[in-house]
Amino acid sequence: MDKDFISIAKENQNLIKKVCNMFCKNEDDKKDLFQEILIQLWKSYETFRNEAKVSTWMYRVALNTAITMYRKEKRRPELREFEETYGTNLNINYSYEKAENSIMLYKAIDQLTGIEKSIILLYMEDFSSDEIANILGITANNVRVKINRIKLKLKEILEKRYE
Amino acid sequence: MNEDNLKDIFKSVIEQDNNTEISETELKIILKNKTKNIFSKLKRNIKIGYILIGVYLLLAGLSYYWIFTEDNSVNLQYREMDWLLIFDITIDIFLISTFLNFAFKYIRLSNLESMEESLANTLQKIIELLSDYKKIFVIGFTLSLVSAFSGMIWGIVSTMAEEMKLNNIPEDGHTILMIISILFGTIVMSVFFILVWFIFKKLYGNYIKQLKIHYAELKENE
Repeated sequence: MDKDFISIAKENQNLIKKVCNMFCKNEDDKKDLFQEILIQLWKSYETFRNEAKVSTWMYRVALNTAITMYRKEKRRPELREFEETYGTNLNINYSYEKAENSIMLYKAIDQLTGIEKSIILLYMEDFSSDEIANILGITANNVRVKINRIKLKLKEILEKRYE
Repeated sequence: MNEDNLKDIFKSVIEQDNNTEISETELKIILKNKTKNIFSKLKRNIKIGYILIGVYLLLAGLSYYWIFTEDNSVNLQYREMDWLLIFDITIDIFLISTFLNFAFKYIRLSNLESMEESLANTLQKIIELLSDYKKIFVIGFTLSLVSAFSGMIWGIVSTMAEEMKLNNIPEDGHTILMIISILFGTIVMSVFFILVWFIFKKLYGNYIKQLKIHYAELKENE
């Protein structure tokens, strides 16, 4: 197995985990998605050798995989709430307010569509509109319009929760 | 919450449990697993369809060989019924085209598997592929059923017609028998067709719908 690829995957595994955390709620789904993204990255690695930026390539493959992942409809056991799963794992130095905000934001993100999650993730990772447009296959102008709408949507959801 | 705060909190949400690092050994183990993406599922289903149609055509070929080499009363009657022979051969030609179409789609799938195109292009190609696959699946299955039932109906009609002749039942009985057999065949084929369509919809219906929704959302404002 190509040592370069394993090295790249190991260094950038947090990128894949971020995508998994955005798109999946439970640990089994996260593991499945992580595995699938890794396999797809390996498959497209040959062509990547020509790409300029590792993160652009990885996000493109990861988001394509997350959005197009086929799952059979099945009954799932009750999903653990964010507070139960992660409440105790939050950094002990976090203030109560920050922890509360994290929980609120997590629930707000959960209400976004797959496309909205992709865009906001790339935006928060400091990708430019042009880079986001390239990854998604849309115009930069469309990206800007969507980012504004998503921010507004998140604001509305968070404001409702605070009320 | 201002934008800097939002980014800070956002990062804390999506970087939850990113402290556990996966080792190179674990990564290598993960890479040995099989992919579960839609392309691999379709490839597997196309292979199965490939095999089923191939087996069916082989059996059809063997049955034609038997019909034209074995001189019994049933085979002799079949050879005289030109319309049925032409009908069966036409269906089998359509089935061979479906078989070749399956083979072509299988090869094309191998070239389309990469996830490194833009999201819009990836969604578009999967939607097109699933639509083609649905058409081939339904056409192939319907043709197989029609072919199977035409032979069955003819077999029932000719066997019972023989029995009627031996028992001196009038000619009108043959027509009624033919009509009943065709109606029965049509009902059974319709039930199978609806069942297959339902199964396909259950497996892929919602998935295709979701992909189309994603694509429409992406391309909105363009």
